[in-house]
Amino acid sequence: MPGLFEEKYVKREYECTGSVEQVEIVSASDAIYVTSGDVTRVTLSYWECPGTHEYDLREADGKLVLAFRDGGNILDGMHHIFRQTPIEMILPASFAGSLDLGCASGETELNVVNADKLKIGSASGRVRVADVSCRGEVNIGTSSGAVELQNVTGADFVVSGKSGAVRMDGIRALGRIESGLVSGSVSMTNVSAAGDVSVDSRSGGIKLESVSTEASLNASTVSGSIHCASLRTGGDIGLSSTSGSVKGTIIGREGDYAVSAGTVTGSNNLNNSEGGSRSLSVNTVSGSIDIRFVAGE
Amino acid sequence: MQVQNPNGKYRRQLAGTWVSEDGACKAVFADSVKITVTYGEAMLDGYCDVNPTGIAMAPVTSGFMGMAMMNAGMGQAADGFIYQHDLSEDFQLSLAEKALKKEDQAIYNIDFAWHDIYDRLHFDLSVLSTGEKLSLTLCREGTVPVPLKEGEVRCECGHVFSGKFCPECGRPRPAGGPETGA
Repeated sequence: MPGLFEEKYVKREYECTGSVEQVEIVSASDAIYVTSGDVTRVTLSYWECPGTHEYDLREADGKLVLAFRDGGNILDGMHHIFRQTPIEMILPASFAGSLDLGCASGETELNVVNADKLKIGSASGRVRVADVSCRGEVNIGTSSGAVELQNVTGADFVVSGKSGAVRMDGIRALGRIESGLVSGSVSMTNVSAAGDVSVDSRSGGIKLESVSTEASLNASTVSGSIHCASLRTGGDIGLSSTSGSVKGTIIGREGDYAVSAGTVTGSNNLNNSEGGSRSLSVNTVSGSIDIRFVAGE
Repeated sequence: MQVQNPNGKYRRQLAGTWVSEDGACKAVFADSVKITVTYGEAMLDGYCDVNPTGIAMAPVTSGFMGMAMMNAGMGQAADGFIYQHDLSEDFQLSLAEKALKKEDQAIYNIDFAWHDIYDRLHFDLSVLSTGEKLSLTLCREGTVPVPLKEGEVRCECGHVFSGKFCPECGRPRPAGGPETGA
């Protein structure tokens, strides 16, 4: 029934009456777009169709909640419209509260935002976060949507997914970074962390370019390859694959590491050694190992 | 073109509170897309979507349908259908967060969650510290299963029987239960 309710959609606009420290948005299929702009209070807009597609909006005690109201509409799933009905929120530049955004199938996008904590849960929608600064944890969970983080600062980063790819570029973590996937690939470029970096994917490849951490780094996959370039760590390194190759460069000297490297059927350019203040463990079953040490800048 | 709330009707079917037989696991579907799962002292508070499984895409080993095999574990086959984890399955849950945490520490991971045609909810869990796998079955709160008599067992389909095979679905008698031959 395309367009049956098209003309009944009304754009609602809301400006918060006071200072907001906590924002929670729950959407079913509408996209969520958040950015900061020239406003003094949190403002948002969303679309409603009376009786078929409605939201509950509450603002109290510094908390703003916009939640999709599941009214039992029998047209759900058959209700097509030709316009997009996103939730758009503009935060004041001074915003320092926490954001909790969740949706079933809509995409979520944050651009140029400052926040305390950021939590995004998206069952199957794409998540994109760009130019965002958080004082606290950045926690992004998705089941099948891709996650893209670009120029994001935060304390700890936790990104988990089932089958979507994860791409992180220009990340600065004051704590740890943890990325776990079942079947997607993980790409990290220009990433620095004060804490441990852990990347895990069961059947996707892992790419780590210019990733540095003051602590340890662990990357493991079952059926993908691991490619690293200019890896710099203050602690131990573990790179593990079952059926993929492990290749790339580490900044430092081989003598800095107690090396333990092994492959069953591939070639291996590393020699096992003891000593060194840190450990380097590289393992694969059917892939090759080619890890080289290069001088840092 | 946008489809509004495509899976809303399926999520509504799961709305409410679900508990395991021993009461250790509880799942609450509230609001529109929110889910809370508690198991012991660990808890998950997140968002989920519910997808109906597609045409019978249960993994098979021969013919072109073997494609489904290649995608086992991914939840979705290459042709877009969602394969069935179990023959009795009718919905799969897509969970944005999978870790059940206790004081910010992940204790369990929900590897797979689905609902079956007997109106039961299933969670496949991993114990993160040991790798142990757990399968939990939850019923709607208030629907207490009938207590088993001596020699009876409860089949995976929910039917209670005492023979070698379930008369309802044909599955063999679950291991561990004495068989009376009655």
